[in-house]
Amino acid sequence: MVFLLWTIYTIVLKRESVMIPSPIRVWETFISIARGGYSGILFSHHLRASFVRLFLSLLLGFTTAVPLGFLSGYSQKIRSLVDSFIQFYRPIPPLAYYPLLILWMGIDDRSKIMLLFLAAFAPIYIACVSAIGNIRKDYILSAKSLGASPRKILLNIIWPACLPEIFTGLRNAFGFAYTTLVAAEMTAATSGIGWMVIDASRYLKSDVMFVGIFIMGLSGLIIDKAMLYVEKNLVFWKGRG
Amino acid sequence: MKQTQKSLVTLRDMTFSYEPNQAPILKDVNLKIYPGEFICVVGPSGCGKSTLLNIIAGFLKNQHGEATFKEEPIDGPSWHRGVVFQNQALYPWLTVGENIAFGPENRGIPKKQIKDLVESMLIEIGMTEDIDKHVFELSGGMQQRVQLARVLVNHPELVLMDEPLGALDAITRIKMQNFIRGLWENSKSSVLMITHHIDEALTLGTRILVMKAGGGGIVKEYAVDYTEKLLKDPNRAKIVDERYLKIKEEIYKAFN
Repeated sequence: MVFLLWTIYTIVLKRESVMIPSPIRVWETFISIARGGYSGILFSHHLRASFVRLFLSLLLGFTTAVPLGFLSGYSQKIRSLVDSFIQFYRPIPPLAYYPLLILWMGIDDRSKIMLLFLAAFAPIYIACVSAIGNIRKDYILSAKSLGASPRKILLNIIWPACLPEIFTGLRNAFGFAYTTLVAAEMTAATSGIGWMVIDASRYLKSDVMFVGIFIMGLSGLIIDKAMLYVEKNLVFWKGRG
Repeated sequence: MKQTQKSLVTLRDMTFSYEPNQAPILKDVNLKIYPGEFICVVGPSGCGKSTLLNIIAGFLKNQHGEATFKEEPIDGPSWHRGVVFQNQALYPWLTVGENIAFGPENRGIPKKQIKDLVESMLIEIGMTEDIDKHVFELSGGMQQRVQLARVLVNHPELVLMDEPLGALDAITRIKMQNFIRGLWENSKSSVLMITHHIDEALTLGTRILVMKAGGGGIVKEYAVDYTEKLLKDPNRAKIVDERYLKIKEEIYKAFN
């Protein structure tokens, strides 16, 4: 619908301008960027730069937030210690402490990954703690009376029982980290999709901005759908247990 | 006649309260469970019947008195005392077969033997076709059958059931009562079952314990043989005699 209005406005009414390029122009720009890159850097390089940052930080967030979430779920002491910190930093927009991270870790990828890691950590951690608290007591009691050891209970009962909620947390973390990624690239970067858009805006290349925004929307959509697909197959019992 | 045997479970002056300074929900309870018995516990909500079951299961620890299983103090849960929960205690991430195999796997039984055990259990509950189904695909009655199989595959000496049929419709419930009666006869396990239904208690149990709210504990006890009569003649519709009605009336009175 929006696409139709856009086409009519720019092509049929011939109102194409620097502000609003036509779909055809955007498509041509996309092809030229895909072939020759933007600003001397290959397009695939921009994409890769963005997604390496994103996935590395999500992986880092997942591998630290899950164990810590489990510990907090088990122990009230650890929980009150970790929670107070997380509740404090969670509402702060990540870009607010980004300058500090740049100061500490430099302007390269390390500070960006740290920033995204912090963005991704809280949703996964919170999902984990809540999942532990929501486990059906009967699952654990029945496992005990079926002779399961504490280790078996953790691996075969608590872990799968928490998986659906952790997955939801992971999807939230992805959404938040993705938003933060683009914002960070717009603030301080020399590559990445976010940087491409902000750089194009300096030269009023609205067609490039359109391409960048489309790709952000599309890749976000694809990743979320992919995660949903994995979730459906991996935690097929979600909402049906 | 059974008093000459050694008891499986012994509770002696057993007292339990959830909060240290609260009035105990169970006070000075004495109970002996003998091998082969089918005990039904009836009582109003809050009389402590679930607490009693949880102490025997090892989920809760009694504060005073004794609670022993085969003359050993009960210290935590054990597969020798299997527990059947009211509903939805099966693991939804496992199939029917995997749910039943969970207990034997924990006990380190060889894979091949587990396969045979699961198969024979599935035959017993009449669900051989459903081995690879997920538990959420099953009806409530079938889920409870799998839960019973999951517990009985361990051959526990005592099976504890906390209102196992409470979530089922009336017709499934009657079918499951017959089913449980058959399993009890075949498995030779002792059973302690909590129920709200007085008729269910009368037609399944060999002994009925009546509990009273407010820490009253076990106030009445009846030895009955209606389940044995039904085992001899499953099609027998008329088991109700004068004693049956008298017991039923007394239990009702005890509730009020």
